[in-house]
Amino acid sequence: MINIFTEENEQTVYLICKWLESKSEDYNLIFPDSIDFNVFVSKKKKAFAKGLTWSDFGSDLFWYRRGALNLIAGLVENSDLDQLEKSHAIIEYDTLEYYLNWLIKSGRNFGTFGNAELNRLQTFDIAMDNKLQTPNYIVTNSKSDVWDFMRIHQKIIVKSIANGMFELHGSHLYTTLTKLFSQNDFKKLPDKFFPSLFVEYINKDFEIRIFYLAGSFYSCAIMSQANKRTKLDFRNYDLENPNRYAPYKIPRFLETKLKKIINYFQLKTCSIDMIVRDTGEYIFLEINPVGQFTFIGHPCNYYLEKELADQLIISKFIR
Amino acid sequence: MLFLLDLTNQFHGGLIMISEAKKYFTLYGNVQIVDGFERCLIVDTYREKFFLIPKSLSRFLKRHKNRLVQDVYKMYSQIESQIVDEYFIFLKDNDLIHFSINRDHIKNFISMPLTFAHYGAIINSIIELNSFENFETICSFIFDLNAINCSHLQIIFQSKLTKSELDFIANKFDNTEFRSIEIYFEYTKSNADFEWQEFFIKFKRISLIIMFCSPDDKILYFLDGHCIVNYLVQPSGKPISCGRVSTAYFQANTSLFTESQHHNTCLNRKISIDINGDIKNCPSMAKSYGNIRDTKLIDVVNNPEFQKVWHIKKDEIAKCRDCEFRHICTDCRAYIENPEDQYSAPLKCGYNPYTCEWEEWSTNPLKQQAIDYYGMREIV
Ligand code: SF4
Repeated sequence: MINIFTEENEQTVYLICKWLESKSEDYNLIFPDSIDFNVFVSKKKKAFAKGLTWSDFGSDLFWYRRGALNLIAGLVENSDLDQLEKSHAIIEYDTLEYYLNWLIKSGRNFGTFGNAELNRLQTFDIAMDNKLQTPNYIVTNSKSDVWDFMRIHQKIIVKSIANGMFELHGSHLYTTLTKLFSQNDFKKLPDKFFPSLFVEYINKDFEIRIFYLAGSFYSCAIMSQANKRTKLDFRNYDLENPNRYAPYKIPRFLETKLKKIINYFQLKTCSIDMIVRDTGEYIFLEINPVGQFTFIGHPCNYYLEKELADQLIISKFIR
Repeated sequence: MLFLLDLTNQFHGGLIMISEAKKYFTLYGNVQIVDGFERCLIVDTYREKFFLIPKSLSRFLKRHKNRLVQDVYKMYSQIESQIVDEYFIFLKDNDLIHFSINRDHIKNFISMPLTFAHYGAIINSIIELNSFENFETICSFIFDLNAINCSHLQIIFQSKLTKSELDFIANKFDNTEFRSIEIYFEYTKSNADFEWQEFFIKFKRISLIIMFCSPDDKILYFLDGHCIVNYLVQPSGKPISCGRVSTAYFQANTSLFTESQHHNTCLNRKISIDINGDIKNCPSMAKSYGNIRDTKLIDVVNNPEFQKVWHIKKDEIAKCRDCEFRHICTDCRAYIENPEDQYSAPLKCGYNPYTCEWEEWSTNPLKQQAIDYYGMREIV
């Protein structure tokens, strides 16, 4: 049995399940925020059930895709417990969750809850340790540091230190997440403020979104700047013309470096965002263990959902 | 020798690509070239567009891609370089090529894999019925199709349907996972005031309703164009495009393009039931693989004989194999030019890839024998 933790109506998981069905594989979709579950732990048996189907933490495969493991949130919130009792229930639950997470991690798994969010700053450090280029950045709470940073870099952006917004798609990923930090913004800044992350803005020739799965890299180039038209008289369909997505192969040396980060975080699969400059540099932006990938797989004809289903099946047999 | 594109006839003077002169260029990997006998096609599967090009441009791209733009110009005379300009401008304006000063990056723009796969044992199904009375007899078959993840279902009634009958049918399949269900039936006056909007909101699987024998041709769109009601004057419930080949039916998408490399683009993973309950590759074909009364769906699907036609590729079909449109064109095996030869061209195609001209297929003297064979005189 393949157990997949996910959110309801997740298109990617739906497609993966269709591929599993085409290979007659049994799977179990678990929506962690629903309460339709049972947990049983004893000396001999450590198991989890959705409805009547029991999955054994020791032998069945678990894959965490999305959704917080939030099995009792509803129970606690809607109860008539007082505040103190509620917080005690939550501590009890957190401790159990920690244990379940550890059970999954030490059994057959394809990524578990603990992997869902990486720390952005830590990721930068690990990337640098492995000789990957990263943008310049500072985390500071003082205006004068920002001033110094702005003098070195013409354009800077503010980014959240936490990851947060995974739902954004495609080329909108950075433009929506990041905000250009203007002179005007700077003027409004108080001398001391909440610690924030400032990153140098890097001119890019194009971006790449890389999907990593079990040793293989599937990359897609995203042309954020559409080619300027050389002729004025041409039909004007630019507005509805989406940015070009095109299949791309990252060079070996980059694969080797990225693999080191991936191994460091013990990821079976993840999405990586990079910027490419014509001068030859590949600049590492971020790594997301639960990123979306259908939108790059389709334009490049990579069948990533099928590949992922195949890997789940293989993982059933390896620890 | 280079030939001008017919779509551009302006004069630009030499080396208009000066801004890109010191850059390398390559075709994007999801832009594919299909060579025909007389001319070629560029298929942009990402934007789902296609462009007719002369053979010389196809050769030009194959020969020069990954080269430095200025080196390319050096290989041509002054006069020819105007044509090179035309080529580059056309390719650039349509966002088909990438320029970069970095040669390594250019090489990393790999070609898209041309594999085709689908999770459904069957992808398309067509079910013909005499009337609503026979509907119950095929229901379990349709649920079996759903169980093997068939994506698309067409139900064609050769009769009228009342509102409540239509609701009954739609309701029956509401819990299935078909990505689209199309229902064809004969127009009746009483359906004229049907609340289609509500119908489509209620029954999410239904994507198309076609009423033949309508007083006039009319198309209505609902839910942002995702759902369509099409009124047709034509007297028969056969899908109007069935077997016909024309530029209007060409599709430049990844799915058809890649499927066409390996499979038949009409019959691959298709199954149908005709009005007698006979299970076939297509309702217009003669061979039956059993009747739904006594044959299991899965047995037919897994029957190698049944699957044989799935593998007749455009690259193997007479005429089509020389046609630049072959990977954006849907095939037809039910009506072919020589009914004795499985690999002969679709009968209802009037295109001639050797002259690049479209002719009316039904009056072509060479096709008259086949037209008689299929008894198509009246409907032609
Ligand atoms: S010759 Fe064949 S491929 Fe070309 S348009 Fe006709 S049917 Fe299609």
